[in-house]
Amino acid sequence: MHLKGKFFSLLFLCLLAFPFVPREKVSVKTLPNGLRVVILPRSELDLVSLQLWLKVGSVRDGDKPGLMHLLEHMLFDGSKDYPPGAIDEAIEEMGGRISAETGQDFTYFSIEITPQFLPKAMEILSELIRYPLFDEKEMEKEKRIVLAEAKAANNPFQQCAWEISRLMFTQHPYRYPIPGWEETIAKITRDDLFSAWRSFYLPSLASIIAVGKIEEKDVLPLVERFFADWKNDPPPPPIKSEPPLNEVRSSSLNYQPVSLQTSENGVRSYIAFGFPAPSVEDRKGVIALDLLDQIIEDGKIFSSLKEKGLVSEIHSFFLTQKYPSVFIIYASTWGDVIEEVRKGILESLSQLKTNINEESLAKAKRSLLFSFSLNCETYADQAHILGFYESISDYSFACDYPKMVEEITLEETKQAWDKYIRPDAYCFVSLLPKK
Amino acid sequence: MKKILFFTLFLSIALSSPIKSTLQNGLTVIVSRREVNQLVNITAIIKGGSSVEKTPGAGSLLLRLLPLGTKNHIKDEIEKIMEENLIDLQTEINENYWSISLTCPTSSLREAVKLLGEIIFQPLFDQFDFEREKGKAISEIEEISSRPFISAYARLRESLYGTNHPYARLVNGNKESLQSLSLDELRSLHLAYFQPQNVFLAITGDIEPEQTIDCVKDLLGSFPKGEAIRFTYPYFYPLVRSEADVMERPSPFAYLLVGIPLPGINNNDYPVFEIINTLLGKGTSSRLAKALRWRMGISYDFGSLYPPLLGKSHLLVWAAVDPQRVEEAKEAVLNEITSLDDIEQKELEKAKNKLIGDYILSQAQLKNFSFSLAWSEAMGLGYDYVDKFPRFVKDIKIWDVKRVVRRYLKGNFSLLLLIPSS
Repeated sequence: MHLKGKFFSLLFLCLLAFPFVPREKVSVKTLPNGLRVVILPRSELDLVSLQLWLKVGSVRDGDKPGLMHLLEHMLFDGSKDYPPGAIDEAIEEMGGRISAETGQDFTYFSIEITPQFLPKAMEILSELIRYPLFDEKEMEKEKRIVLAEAKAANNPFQQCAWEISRLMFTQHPYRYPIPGWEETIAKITRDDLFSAWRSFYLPSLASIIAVGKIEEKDVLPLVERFFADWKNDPPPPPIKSEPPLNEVRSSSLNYQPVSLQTSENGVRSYIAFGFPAPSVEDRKGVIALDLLDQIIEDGKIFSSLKEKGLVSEIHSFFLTQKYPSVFIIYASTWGDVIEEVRKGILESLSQLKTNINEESLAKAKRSLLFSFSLNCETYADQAHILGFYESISDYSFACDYPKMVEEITLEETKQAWDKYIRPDAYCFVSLLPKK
Repeated sequence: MKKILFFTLFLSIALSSPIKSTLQNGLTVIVSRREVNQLVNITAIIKGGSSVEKTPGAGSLLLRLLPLGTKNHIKDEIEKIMEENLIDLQTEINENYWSISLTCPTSSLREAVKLLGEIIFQPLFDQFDFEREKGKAISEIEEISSRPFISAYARLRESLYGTNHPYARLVNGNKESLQSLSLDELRSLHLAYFQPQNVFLAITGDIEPEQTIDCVKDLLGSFPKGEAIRFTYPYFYPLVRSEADVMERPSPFAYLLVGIPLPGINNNDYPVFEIINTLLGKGTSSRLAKALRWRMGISYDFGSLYPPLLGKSHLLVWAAVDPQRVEEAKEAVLNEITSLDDIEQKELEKAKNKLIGDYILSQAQLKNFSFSLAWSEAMGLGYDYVDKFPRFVKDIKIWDVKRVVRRYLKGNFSLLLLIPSS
């Protein structure tokens, strides 16, 4: 091994040796009702991040896309002891932050606060999850807000991503956008909200995560006090699975440019590829695609397309999910070169599969682990990563991540890429400006 | 409802007190240790920013060119150094400073400091890179300045400051100004401001403070001191009357913007301005949130902003609303602004806790913590302002709020309405 190689591996090992989310410090307890409690004590800063993750998200919308998202919003719109807005206010007056998000596989609620207010934060979390009122008038107001939120987030990338999902999933609910559509949101009733809340907001589908200047003895009694009597019900039925994709599916859409999305080549068009991607169960597959995602983000693989002026931006997006999902490559380009870009991207991917070697894989691994370490920087980040993997699999995925990256071989990476990134099985979307 | 809590948020931001050292060439370095996943952040604040440039956009373009080649390394070599040492580089320009921030594993600290020194003091300024970056900057600025909110805010700032004031324009310049720029102008701008006595460095993370200062002395101590710099800020014409303007753009919503002139961060009332901003438009329990979101349910995207500027700043209040409900929104927003002196102790205490809590939480990220240390020092507030600020906020009295509201918020303002073009 030459000197540069030695330097590489020393630095690589040094990063890998560091436990970003140290497994030995994480404790996990399960209450009799099935609620899991994951605690990671930290000592640097006088802060605590308290999160509650549910293993349900928009995949449980049924025939009313937008239901689970509206439900999450409605929890802030009045509960047993807190009128609309009062939960936010209670957290903010303690100098804390509260937020929530609905994904396809998960819904989470997050509070960042100083440890002295942990009891109050826990009480608020239980109030939020367990005692909503779903006031009819508030619901109508909230519907307008979720629609505005969806409208504001509707950029070209989002449009391409939802269209890719629609093409990729013919049966699985990943097909539908998380916020739903105006028509489906309008149809949601108070009964729908209650029924979804009763069926899916269950302790056996939830995990509470606490990371920060706290000990197990500070957290567990509080969880028991506020959540031990949370009644469990049978889990919801499994989700219909999606048959494997064995063809190329394409579609073309138009968009209304809001800002001046132009360049010397004219008004921008956008394209997106969606390749079938592994579920969290296929751990090697997930790591291999995370590595591919990192290689694309590092920016060299499509440099010839950029140099030729065929694309201005090119990115990838891959989120590990509970069920087989999608790996998206997204580029901004121009209408008359779309076919050339499509071929160019497939060609670059094929070259990458052929040319990848031990050295370039090692580089990608280091880069991926560095990104991972940046994503684990704060207590809120650490709680988020533990909760995220808890909601789709098990928190230990977060602890094992560096080791899994270290251990994947060149052969395994190539195999996974061959399995998922195929030139004969993908979805393709082009988004052209409205004339 | 629960009883209101009166308490003191008392938090230590750093593990150990930050240490400041000034090198012989005038470069200031502040270091603070915090154990975070073997990570370190190095942030350099160079005082100046877009308000000292002659041609709008010069400062921004200069910043783009810095990492593209130095006397010792061409662009590819710099990329290789960053890749091998896992250095994540981010840059920013605002009206008062340039900022260059590097995050990397602690083991790469030395390489990162060395690279930062070269980027700041020895850029190559290649003509080809200049032309290419200029092209990119022009296409970006066209896109950015056509976004509804950005274009509305730019118009509002012109009305607040007068067209010639540097705070009136976008920090990235405009198409015409960028086209007229020459590489020589960038070189002279660099020569005037990118010199050790005008550079404020903060290094935080998993480091040994003394060794880190020695490392900076060793690697950056020999760059020549340069000429002394005198900062002057252009005269600010006060708003002589309230102004209202309407513009049309393709947009999914109507935007209502209200701008009110306020002094900048060097005014003794700076923490009070921050409290007013918090009371009015920060978070989901602010006065605007209570009115627009909770009571009326007409806006999801709203808020207020107080840019922490030297000289003259302003308070911006905005709301994105359905075009049909603009009048209601306008009445509510103006009412919330002018009635802010009708405030009780309870509400003030809540806002103080919110502001302090937000501030402390934002310092949890190394890059934000480094930035705060370097920025406070560079802006003349002193690096220990990071610790002082929460105390100043805690000491704000209800009378301070009433006084500031009556003095500034009941006078002239500038109102802009952006309506979606058909």
